[in-house]
Amino acid sequence: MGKLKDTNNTFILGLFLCIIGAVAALILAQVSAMTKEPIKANEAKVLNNALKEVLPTYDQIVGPTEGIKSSDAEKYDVTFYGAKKDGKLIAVAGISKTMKGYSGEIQALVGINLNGDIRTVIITQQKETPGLGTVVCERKNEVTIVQLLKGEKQAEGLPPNPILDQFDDKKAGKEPWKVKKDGGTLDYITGATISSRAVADVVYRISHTYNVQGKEIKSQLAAGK
Amino acid sequence: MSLVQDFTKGIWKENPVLVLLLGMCPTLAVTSNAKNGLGMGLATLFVLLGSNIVISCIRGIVPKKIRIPCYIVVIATFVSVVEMLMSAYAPPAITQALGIFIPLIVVNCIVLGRAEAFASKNNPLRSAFDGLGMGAGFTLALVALGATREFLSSGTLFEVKMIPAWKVSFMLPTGAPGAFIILGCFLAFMNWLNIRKAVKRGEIYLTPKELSCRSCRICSISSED
Repeated sequence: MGKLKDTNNTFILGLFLCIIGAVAALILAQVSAMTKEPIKANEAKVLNNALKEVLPTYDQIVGPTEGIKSSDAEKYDVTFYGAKKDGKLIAVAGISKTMKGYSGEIQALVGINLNGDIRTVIITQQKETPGLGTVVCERKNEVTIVQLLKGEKQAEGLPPNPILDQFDDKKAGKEPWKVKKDGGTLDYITGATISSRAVADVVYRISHTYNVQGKEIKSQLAAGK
Repeated sequence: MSLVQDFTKGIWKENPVLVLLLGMCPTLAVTSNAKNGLGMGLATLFVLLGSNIVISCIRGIVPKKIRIPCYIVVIATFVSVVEMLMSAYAPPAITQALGIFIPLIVVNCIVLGRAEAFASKNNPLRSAFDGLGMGAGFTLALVALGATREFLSSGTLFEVKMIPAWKVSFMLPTGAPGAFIILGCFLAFMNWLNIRKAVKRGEIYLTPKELSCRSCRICSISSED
């Protein structure tokens, strides 16, 4: 083996690397096959938990819809899921993203009643600045050490967020929503205007898409099992 | 050196972050809170342990000329495995927060550094303990740094409020400049401790010989033949 260690033969060196690569590929293929199902299940669980938060109690989720694009100039994909109870569609949830965030994409999930009113907004993906942009996006219950030591129970339900909650019961009209700084009506967080704008942008897009293409969405979801 | 020493040297005497100053990129980037630091540290620990053992096992047959590419393949394999396992079994919040930094463990110089400096010269058992110790040292340093930054910015530790009256959150400690400032303070403290120890013994503090630049061979790949 000492010979192999000091070899200068390019062919042997190449062959050695090739073997190492092949072994690594085998191991990776094995692990990938092993974790495929759990990863899928994990993703489905994340989506389901999110849907549960924005939809009323349901006994079946239908969707996703296919081929629905937002009606604005950017043509983002908007995917809708429907909640069914006793075989009837009772509400939908739209998911879409915006590139207008302070550092990249913001993805939002919006629950919408059948008449088009927004139920709840949650942000499912964001990379905003911790402490500024995240204040706009996160719904978080604050746990203090005192509560922890006393063993107090945390409040049930979705934690409030003043920026996200202001969309509740709203319905997108023809004009895009604007924050107060831009002459609109929405509140925003000082220092995180861009994030606030981005959230308004994506929520408006989802709501507007539902209002314009509601028929198509409902018919796709009603047919879905 | 005994196995115990192989383990403990990574935690204090040769702590990868605070003494060897390796892996600064993930150290500065992910430690905005204690939880992320812990996740990143544990992922690196697993990769270090695995790659150290495997590299030590194949150290007898890997040709000298291509040892670095071989090590990289081994490390990359372990990182991919960790990434898949994490997205399958770790809490989604951690996977999302660590995002890009998990694939980047491949080029984390701690892992390659230990492969070249230790695993390629010692038996698998010692290498395993070295990997565990270095990983534990890295994890501890990251958690300490993350906890300090999190506490200074909002008075929380692992997202639990330690001082209920603390309402505002400061941007500096969680931002990039804060990372440098606080890491600097940590390093200064570490050096102060070492210097004080040396002075008590009546000596002048010098970098341990095995850590100084003169004993490092990592760059002399071609000059050895």
